Amino acid sequence: MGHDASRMQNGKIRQLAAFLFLSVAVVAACLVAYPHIRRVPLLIATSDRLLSQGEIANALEALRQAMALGGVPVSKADAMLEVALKAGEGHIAEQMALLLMDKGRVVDSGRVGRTAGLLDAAGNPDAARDLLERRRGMGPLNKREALHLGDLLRRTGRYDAALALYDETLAANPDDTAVLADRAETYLWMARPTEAEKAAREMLARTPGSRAARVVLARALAAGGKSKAAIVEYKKLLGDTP
Amino acid sequence: MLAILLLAHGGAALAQAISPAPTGATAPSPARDDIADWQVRLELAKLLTESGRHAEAAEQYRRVLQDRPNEPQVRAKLARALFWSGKRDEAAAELARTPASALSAEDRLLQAEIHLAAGRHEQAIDALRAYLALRPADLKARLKLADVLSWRKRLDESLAEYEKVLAAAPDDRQVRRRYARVLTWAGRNADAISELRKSLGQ
Repeated sequence: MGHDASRMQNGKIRQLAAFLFLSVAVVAACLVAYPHIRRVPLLIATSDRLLSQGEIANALEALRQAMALGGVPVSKADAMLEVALKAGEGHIAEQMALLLMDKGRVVDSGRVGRTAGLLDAAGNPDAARDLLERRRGMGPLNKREALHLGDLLRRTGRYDAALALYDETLAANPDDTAVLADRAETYLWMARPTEAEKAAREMLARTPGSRAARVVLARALAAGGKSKAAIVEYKKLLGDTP
Repeated sequence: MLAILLLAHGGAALAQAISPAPTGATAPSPARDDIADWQVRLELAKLLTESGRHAEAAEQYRRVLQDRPNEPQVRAKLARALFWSGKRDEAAAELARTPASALSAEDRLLQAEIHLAAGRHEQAIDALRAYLALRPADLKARLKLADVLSWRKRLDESLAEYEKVLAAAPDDRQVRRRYARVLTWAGRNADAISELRKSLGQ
């Protein structure tokens, strides 16, 4: 009996030791991690302040440090996205937009569009396209972003996807000349000038005063080998006597 | 510990995600209702050039330059259109007004052609050298440079250019005979005879 009691006591001591060790480890981890977690919002606030002072390089460095610490809280991602956009930093803006969308937050189409614009301008059209497609999966894009996505899709040869996007956008605004023009011009990208000409003529019938429609028509005629007719269209557009 | 691991993992993932990606293609100018006249005119000028209507193209390029005077590439296109419409002096003047940094290799070659046609050999040599700096493998242009240098009695330079051409095309008998002729002009008759024999397959 005495032997059993001693073994039980030893077991309890081991349990207690293990509990104490784990407690100390958790507290130590918190102590180590806490300053880093605290630093993220501080760095974002610093970045915003530096940006307002025109110190763009330092502002971006602060944002990069915040990202390097990892685990940017969703509550801060919104502010960080805004700062990155103000500073023209596409990669950070992209990461923040993705973080927000990963958490189910619908980021405003315009902000995603500005991010995609920065990525595209920085020579990263694939990332821009992926980001816009991701956002489109969460709800309709504004016209400006839809046009950008359509262009990005065309540039990677995804013409049918671009046409589907234009049709979807036109469902809301059937007479939008920019969307109609890009849709018609997609047939030129596909080396189908006859269809481009047909789409441009339909567009002209629908919006007779549209310069965009006449430009697409001239381009379609030129691409189809009808150079004289194309020249006439260009001259009409310029008000020159043919 | 878990928190530290998560921080490290998150940082690595973010660092991976922001790595640079390949450069994309440049998009064509979109057709919009507010498209500027000069952009439309530029397209018209290009089409007129492609249709062989160079004088009309030149007129359109001139009108583009009225709106956009600081577009050196348009000026180079105007020069080309003027050249093809027979107005070589005007073409030369436009090329001379174009900043050197905006001139393409083809513009340089055009410049050389214009100078050669006008008998301005020294300027032609400069233009050919500038062209060859951009297109060193163009043997036809290098041969032209060798010829022009020989006409200006810059024989050593001419021979050096012929030798570069022959190094790339050793079986070209016509080039070898022209090389031999310049060797004669340089008073190197023995070398000239040797080259002529080679050109005869001896």
